[in-house]
Amino acid sequence: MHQNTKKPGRKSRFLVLSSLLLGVHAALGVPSQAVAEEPAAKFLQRLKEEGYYDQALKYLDLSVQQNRLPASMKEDIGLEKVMLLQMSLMEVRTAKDLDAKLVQVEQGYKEFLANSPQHPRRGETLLKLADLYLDRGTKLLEDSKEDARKPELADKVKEQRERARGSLQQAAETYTTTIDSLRPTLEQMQGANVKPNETERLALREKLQREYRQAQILQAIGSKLIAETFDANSPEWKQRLEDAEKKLADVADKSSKQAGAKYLSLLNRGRIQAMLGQVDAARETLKRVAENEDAGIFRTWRIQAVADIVRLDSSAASGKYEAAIMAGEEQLKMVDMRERDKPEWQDLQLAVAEARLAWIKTLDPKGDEAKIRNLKRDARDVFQNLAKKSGRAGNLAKDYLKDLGIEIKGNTEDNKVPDANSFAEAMKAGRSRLDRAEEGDATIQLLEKQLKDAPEADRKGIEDQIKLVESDMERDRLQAIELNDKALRLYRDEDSREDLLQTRFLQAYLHLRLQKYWEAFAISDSVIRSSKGTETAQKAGSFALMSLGQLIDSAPAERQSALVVQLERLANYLRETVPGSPEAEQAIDILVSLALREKDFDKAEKYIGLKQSGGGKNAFLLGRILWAEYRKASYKHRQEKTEISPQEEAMRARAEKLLTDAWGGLAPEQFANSSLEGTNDLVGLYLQGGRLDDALRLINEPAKGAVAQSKAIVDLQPALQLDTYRLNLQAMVQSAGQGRTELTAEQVDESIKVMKELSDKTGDTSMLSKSLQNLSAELQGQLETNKNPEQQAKLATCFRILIDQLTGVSSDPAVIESGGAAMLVLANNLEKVPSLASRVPEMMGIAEKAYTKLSQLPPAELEKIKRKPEELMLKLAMTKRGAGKFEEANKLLVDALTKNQNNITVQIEAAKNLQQWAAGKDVEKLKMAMLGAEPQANKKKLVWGWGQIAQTTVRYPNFQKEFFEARLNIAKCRAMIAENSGAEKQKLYDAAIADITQTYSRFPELGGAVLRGEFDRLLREIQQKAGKQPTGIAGLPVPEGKPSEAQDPSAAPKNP
Amino acid sequence: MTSQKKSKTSAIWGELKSVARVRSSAIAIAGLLMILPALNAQERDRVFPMKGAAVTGKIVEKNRDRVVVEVRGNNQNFPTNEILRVLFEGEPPTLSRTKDLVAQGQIDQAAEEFKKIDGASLPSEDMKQDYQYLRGYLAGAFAMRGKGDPKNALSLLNNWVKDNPQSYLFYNVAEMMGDLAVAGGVPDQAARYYGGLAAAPFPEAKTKGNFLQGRALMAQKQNAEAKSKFQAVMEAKVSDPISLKFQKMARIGVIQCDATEGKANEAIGELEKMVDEGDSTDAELFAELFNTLGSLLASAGRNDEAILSYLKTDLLYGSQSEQHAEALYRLTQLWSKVGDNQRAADSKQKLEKLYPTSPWVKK
Repeated sequence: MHQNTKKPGRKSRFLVLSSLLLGVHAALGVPSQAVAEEPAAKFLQRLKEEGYYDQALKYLDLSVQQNRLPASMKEDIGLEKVMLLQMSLMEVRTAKDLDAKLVQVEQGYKEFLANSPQHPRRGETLLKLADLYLDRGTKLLEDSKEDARKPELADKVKEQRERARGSLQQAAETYTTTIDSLRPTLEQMQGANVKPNETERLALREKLQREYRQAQILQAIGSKLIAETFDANSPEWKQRLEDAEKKLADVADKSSKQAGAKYLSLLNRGRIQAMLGQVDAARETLKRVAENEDAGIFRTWRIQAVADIVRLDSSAASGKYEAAIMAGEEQLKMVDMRERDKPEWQDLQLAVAEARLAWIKTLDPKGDEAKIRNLKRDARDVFQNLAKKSGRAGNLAKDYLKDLGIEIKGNTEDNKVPDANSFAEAMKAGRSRLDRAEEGDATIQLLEKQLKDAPEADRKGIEDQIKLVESDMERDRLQAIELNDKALRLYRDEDSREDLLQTRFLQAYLHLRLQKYWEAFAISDSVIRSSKGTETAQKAGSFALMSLGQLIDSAPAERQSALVVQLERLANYLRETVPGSPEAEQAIDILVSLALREKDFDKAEKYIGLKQSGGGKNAFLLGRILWAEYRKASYKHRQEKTEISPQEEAMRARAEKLLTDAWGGLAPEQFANSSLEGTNDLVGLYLQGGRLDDALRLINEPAKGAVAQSKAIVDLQPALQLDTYRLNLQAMVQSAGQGRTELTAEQVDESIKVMKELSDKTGDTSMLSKSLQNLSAELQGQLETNKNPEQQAKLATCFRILIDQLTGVSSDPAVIESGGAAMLVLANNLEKVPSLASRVPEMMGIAEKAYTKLSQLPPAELEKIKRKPEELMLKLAMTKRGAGKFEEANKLLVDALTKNQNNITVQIEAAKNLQQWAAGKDVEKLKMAMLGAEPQANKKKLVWGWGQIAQTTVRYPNFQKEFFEARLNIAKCRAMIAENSGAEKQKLYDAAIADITQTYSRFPELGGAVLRGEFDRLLREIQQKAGKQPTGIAGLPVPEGKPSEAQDPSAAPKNP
Repeated sequence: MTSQKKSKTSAIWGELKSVARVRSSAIAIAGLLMILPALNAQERDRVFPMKGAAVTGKIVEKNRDRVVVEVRGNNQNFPTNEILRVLFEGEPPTLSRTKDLVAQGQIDQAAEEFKKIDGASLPSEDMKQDYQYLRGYLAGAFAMRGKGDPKNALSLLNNWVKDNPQSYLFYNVAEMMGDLAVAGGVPDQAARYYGGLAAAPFPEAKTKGNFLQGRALMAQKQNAEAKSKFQAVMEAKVSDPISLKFQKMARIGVIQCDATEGKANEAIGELEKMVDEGDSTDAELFAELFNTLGSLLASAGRNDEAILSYLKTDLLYGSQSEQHAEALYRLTQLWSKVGDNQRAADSKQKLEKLYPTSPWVKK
């Protein structure tokens, strides 16, 4: 039932002691309150047995409400409910819930005790309350033992021990109260005080006697546990253990008629004696438990006692290794297969294996080599088997295996194909081979885990073992296929058709495991069709899908389309025959993928709509594709100054719907990088539409928002998480830009700190920079598409504030550089947008601040961001120019050129700076920009100017853009000089026109559409100023023959 | 193979284990039967009554209602509802063994044994008649376990009844045909077939027939007609324990009919009263009571109470396989409804494990 299906790991350790207590109750024969004839009591009992504590509580509440509870149960209903609540503690998953429930239970018991001083179940209640304290103390003690392995948790361990001690003392005190409250009643009921015919009183006396013994035993166990909260061998430890041992000896002596009390006392007494180093006494005591042949809980205690004896005898003090191992093995021979996995049996196996390891330590590595090898092999076998199990023994076995290493051991027996003379025999044998092969998977997983942590010396051994197991598995699978083939050949009409179908089905599975995809597909396809609509067909559908998927992947392109048709047919068949099943959903996913591959988005969307479990990752994918298409179109429209079409707008709406639906149907187990990508895109989509509330909700939604997803995804790509935080920052900036919120320095600092940490984790220092540049690009898009100048201004201001604060607060060179670069990119781009160009100087001012700060950092710091000083110097000069600080920029550029005159980028920047510095009026500076400046001793100029830049770059095909930019600026400078000249004006205008004409005659393409447009605009402007008809490039004479690409660049005009 | 593929196929394997079962116990038992020494053919006619020793003699009369055996010149009369099985003189052991296994309810083994009978060479018409009956009956029994088509079995038995309307096996067949019609989703036919049983001269068969007819009519939502059948059962003057139990079951039927007429709360009260007054060790009655209560509570939206009611059948009356399977099915639905998917899965798994061939698994 419910609790039986749970994995052991789900139960809290609380259960460990609770189970022990249940054992105590069972052994001491605590009677059930249920009356067999009454369904209400019986039902309640069954609910408890099956772990339906919540339902039991509900049942009691409803029965009370409806007055349907038998009178005999009404009296104790309050107590019954508290007990149920205590039992339900086993089901509690979180520490917080556990604490809350514990308080409730404790309170419930206390209230009952306070209100019912004479109640016959008082003793039982006191015991329950004490159990509660004991449970709590035990859990804390176990936690402290677990944490004690880590020295850094020493303080925590101390605190846990003290808290454990407190709880255990409360338990001990409550047991004492129980004993004290029961004693006078029992004294009154002693001997002849209860007559043989007073059956009810006799039963009560028996019950109270049991409770009395139980309290005594648990009180002693409590003392033992309290001892463990002190350092071993300390006086407190010793004294409490001795007290406990004495009490248990007393109970054991006085419980000759109560076997449960007697043997439980003995078991615990023996353990305490062992702790106190009383080896012989401990062995004697434990032996008495081990010799009890009774069944039930006594058998459990017997196995526990044997394990304790094995440990005792294999300790260094005893040194009876061989005897210990033999005694343990002897007991292990008696194990029933069904109980082999019980904790006590696992512990016994562990104890025997530990005894072997202990023995090895005493042997001579050379003289006893063979014996050591055998002992190791036997121990390893046990550990390898236990390591596959969950729980304490499994964990310890794994630890031992780490130290022990691996030994190659193949399956040398039973490796021939078994004989089979009928369908049933062959089928059974095939199934057995298949089962064995599947078990190999678990072994390989274990070995792979070991391999991960294994020292280099052991690696080969483990790898060889993996290979051997793999080869065994393959052989078993091949044999299973052979046997199934045989079964199919031997099939007769009288054999079961159901088994026939199963055999085919398993055959398909085997072929799939052996990567024989054609066979797997063919067989599973026939299974699907011969058992339409059944569970078998459903699962066979999954095999067929997997096989075809693999076949398509490995098929040559020309054969893929034929396979895809088959896949589509199969997927549609499954969709129709088993709608809503995981296989049908998987089939639809495949259909969606196929449609996406064909770029048939409509079809993909149609298929996604057919899915009953939500669109999933494919809906995210399609949504992302459509969103990307929309963004591409949107960008193109921005460039071409055109409007978004209604179809494109519809595409955005479809993207939004797909992404919203996919996010809506997203479950935590589906969190993956792809879901986070989709969620981030949806945030971006909202931000693009100015829907800040939606965007922020999607980022921060606690269950599955982008932040929650990024915390839960195991193999998270850091760039995606960074993108989430970038979007969050963008939302903050946009929010401030809309005047909705303030953008504070703290907020910016906090966000950047997180982003920086993420970026650092990856070791890729450019990540933060790229992310901030993305932010800058997004905001630039927002600025350009926003038609409201006021909002544009606000947004630009907010972004400026963001970067200003960022560079102001941070001392991290990567952060400062990222901020500066983002600002520089934005300012450079906005320079080209007339309505925003006026804001460029202040933006450049911020960027300048960032680069100035960077330039003041010591070279070692700059090393961290892998930037050369000259690179930063150039950026600083660019920002100074942008901010109108031409002289300072010029100085920096001249310094840079002094170090390396041939850097074209710096030469261009220097010419550009001079040209802008001239502000269209300073003829001297314009001449310097055109002809160069800073003459050297060799009469050559340090700053080349546009003329020499053109002459130099024309020789290099990689510098064509720079060449045309230089030629364009020559014409610009000359035209500006003309404008400021008197008599020579016309001549200079003509010369400027000639600059363009000559460039055109040699290179009619003029460096591409964009630059050609600029040449055209400039030519028309100059023609107009020169009083000529503004015919532009189109009016120039067509050059003779189109220049070939291989044309000698030295033929370019040389006369600037 | 990559580890990802490995884990995916392994996960599937886990699921497969529950689907693919090797029916080793059936194989083992079949094997045992094969090694038993072959019995000689039947020497005389034999009638095995439900109570008392078998009687050997010559069957001198047989019809729907009775079988008369002449034993050393004296006739002994056996009402057909009290006969466990009949063996004819000269009957091959395979046929006798099949009848024996059917009588013991060992259907799988009976089917195995049946396959060994050479139907064409059976020496008498009586045996051929029984052979055809067994063919239809076994097909019906498998269909009722979800392993065959009820309509096919129904057609076999229908043909048999047409050929043998006065057979001593008539009432058995009538009941089986009614059950098959219910399983095949044709309750109108079921009511007709159960009518054959209700027409029997034996009180308990009459009571049972009427009760089953009432149920079939209720399934067709013919509540007035169903109620009248149930009332007929309740009013019948009977004293045998089986009929008395059917009277109680009929009362549940009447209450259910009332509930569908808008008297749900009263119906729940009535059923609770039956629970309070009834003998809770009567597992069949109580499982029926709690399932009916569960269904009415669920219809009234009282899901928590409905769950508890079905849990009573599950935890206290699991021995009643039909009602238990239904309770597990309903619990699966209800747990899902209240959002406890883990328990829903557990109930489903329990249903599939305990009753793999039950029609409730296929719902």
